[in-house]
Amino acid sequence: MAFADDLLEQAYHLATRERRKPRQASLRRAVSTAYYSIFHLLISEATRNWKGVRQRDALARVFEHGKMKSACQRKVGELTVYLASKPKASPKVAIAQHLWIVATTFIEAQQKRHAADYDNSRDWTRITVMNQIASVSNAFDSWRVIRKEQAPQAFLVTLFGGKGPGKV
Amino acid sequence: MVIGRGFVKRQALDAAVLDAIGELGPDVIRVFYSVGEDWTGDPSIFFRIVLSDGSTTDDKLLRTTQRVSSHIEDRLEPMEEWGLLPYFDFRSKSEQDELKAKAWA
Repeated sequence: MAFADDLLEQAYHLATRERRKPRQASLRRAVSTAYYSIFHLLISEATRNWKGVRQRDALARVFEHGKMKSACQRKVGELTVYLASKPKASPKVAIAQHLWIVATTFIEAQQKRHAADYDNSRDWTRITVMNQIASVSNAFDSWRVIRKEQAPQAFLVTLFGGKGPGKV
Repeated sequence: MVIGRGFVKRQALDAAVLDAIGELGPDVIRVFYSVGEDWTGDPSIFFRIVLSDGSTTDDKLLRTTQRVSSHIEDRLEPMEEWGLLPYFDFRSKSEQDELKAKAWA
């Protein structure tokens, strides 16, 4: 996860490099970089399951932004229904809550990245950007808690864009 | 193209949003929203929320924004009830006072 962690640190650096009046260029690059940090976090986690180390970089290029968003939307929908049923506290519920955070943060970060990279009409503020970076950092923390569990591992497979395991 | 119910029933959505943003507390100065499509063309609702300066300090920012967005999502159920994907943007009152952005005023 080193590259993803470095990107997140770089996003923070960009957002704070001008102490008084942050430049729009710095803020926009920070937003974009924060998105790419969670993008690469999930990709690296998915590809590390591939036994052939030499093929992992090639495998990473299979992932597409839109398909990853769709997978996250499906997971958020599924988890929202589950959590709304108010299940009793358990490890399964805790995993669902953390995974919900990861998936919603990915969707939000991707939309903001698109605006930051392509929408010149928008003014970014430090608070907007710092909140975005804090959200992504929080999603990193959530991922670290659940990364070895079965449900998050199955979620990684869905990011390729196909149907989830066991679905027809 | 999928059309979210929020596009079609705008008046009902306005009322539901008004209801959902009630009781947000003194941290929230103003809430604006618009309905449109996100970058992939999915029907979406974009919230723009101005927060008090005191609630946006480094130690409080994420807690505040998570509380506010959860409050709105729990009450509005944007995806389940309206077919709209929710997005949230936050800025502080002093930032908005300086920028005077029309979409946030």
